[in-house]
Amino acid sequence: VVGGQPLLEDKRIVASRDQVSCSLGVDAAILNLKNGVYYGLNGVGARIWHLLQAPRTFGELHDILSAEYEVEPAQLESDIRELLGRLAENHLVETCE
Amino acid sequence: VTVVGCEQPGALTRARQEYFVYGVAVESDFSLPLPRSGGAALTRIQLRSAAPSFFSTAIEGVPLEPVSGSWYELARLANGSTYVRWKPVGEFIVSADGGSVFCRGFNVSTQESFQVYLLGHALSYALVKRGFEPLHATVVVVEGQGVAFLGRSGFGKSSLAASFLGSGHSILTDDLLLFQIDAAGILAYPGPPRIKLYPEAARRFLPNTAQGVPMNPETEKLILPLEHVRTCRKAIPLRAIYSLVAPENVQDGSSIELQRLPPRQVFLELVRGAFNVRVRDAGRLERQLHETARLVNLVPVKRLAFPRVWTRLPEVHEAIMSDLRNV
Repeated sequence: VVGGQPLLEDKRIVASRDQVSCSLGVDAAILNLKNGVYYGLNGVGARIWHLLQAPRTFGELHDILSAEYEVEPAQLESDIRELLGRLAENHLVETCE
Repeated sequence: VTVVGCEQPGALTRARQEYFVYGVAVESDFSLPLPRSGGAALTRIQLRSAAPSFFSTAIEGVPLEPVSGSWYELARLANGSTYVRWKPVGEFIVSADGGSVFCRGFNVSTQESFQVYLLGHALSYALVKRGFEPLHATVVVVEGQGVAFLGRSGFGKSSLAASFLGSGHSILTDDLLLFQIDAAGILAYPGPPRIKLYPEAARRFLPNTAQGVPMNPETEKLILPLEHVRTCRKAIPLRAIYSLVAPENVQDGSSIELQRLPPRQVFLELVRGAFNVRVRDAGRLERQLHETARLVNLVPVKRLAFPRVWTRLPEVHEAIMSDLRNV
C-alpha cells in the first residue's frame, strides 16, 4: 500500500515532498521533514530511491533494476515491494497521477 | 570556589572582555577561565548577565518543556529566543539569531558548575542557531591530530580521554566538539581547558591535578581545570571518530571491539551524536543532514565497544592507538 492505496502496476510512485535526502557514496540518507526522523538506505535501496526522484510505476522500477542487477525476477519483485512498503509506511513516498 | 550571584543588567556598565572557545569569540561582561586570544573567530557571541526579573518576565505564560532523560527545562519563546534552565545551576536565554546569551547563576551553584552549563548546553543553542553542528564528543590529541570519542553523557568519553591524558596526550575539548569543513579537510576547535571526570578516573589518571569541584547534585562527577600543557589551544585536523557503544550494551568481561560501519550507519551514528538534539526546525535538520553527509565522506568513523572497567582503559587506549596506525 502506498499513499493509502494498493500498489497497482500502473500507479506512479514518487519521493514525497516532505523529505530531503543526500548521497553517502553508494548509500543514502533521508530526512522526513514532518517528524524529523532520519533513515539510512543501503546501495540497492539508494538506487531505488534515486529512481523515485521522478515518478515511476512498479513495472518501470522492476525493468530498470533487473537490467542492472543479477537477481531472480521474483526475488527482485519481492525486494522492491518490501522497500516501497517501508518507504510508504514512513511517508517517504507517495502516489501521483 | 566563589558563588555566582545575581547580576543587575544596566545597573553598572561593566567592562566587557573577549574570550575564545570552540573557535568562537565570546564577548562577556563577567570573567571566564578561557583564553583571551584565539585567531580569526568563526563567529561572535555575546554573554550578558541578567536579573531574575528579566527571565521571569520572558517566560511568563510560556509552558516549560521538561526534557526527557535530563534535568533541564526548555521554553521556546514567541520572539524565537530559547529559554533553558537547570534548576540547581542557572537559567539562560539564547536570542533567536544565537548572537546573545543572557544568563544568571543560581546562588546554590558554584562558578565552575555554572560555567560548564553556560559553555556547554546553553552555548550549544547559540552555536546551532548560528549555523554550526556541534557533536557530543571529547577529543584527544594524537600526533598533532584530533581523535574524537562520540557518545551521550555517561558513555565514558571523558574517562577514556583521561586515560590518554594519563599517558601524556593533551585534550582539545571535553564534551562539545565544534568542527568546520574546508578545502583542507576537517578542523576541530579547542574547548574550555577543563575535563569532567568521576573521582575514580581523576585519581587514576590525573593524580596531581588540582582538586575538582562537584558538577551538580545529581552526579559524582568533578570539574577539573587542566594546566596549559595538558590542553591544545589551537584548531587541529580531525583524524578519526570513535562512536562509543552504550555501557549497558557491553558486558564487563567482553573484549574490546572496533567495528567499521557502512556509510549509512556512520551517518546515523553521527546524527545521534549531535550535541544539541532539541533544535528541530526543518531548516536546522536539513542543514544537519547535509553537514553530516559531508562528514561521513571525510573522516573515518568506527564503533567502539569496551567494558567499563577502570583497569581495562589502558587496554582500550592501546587498541585505539593500534587502530590509528591503520587509519
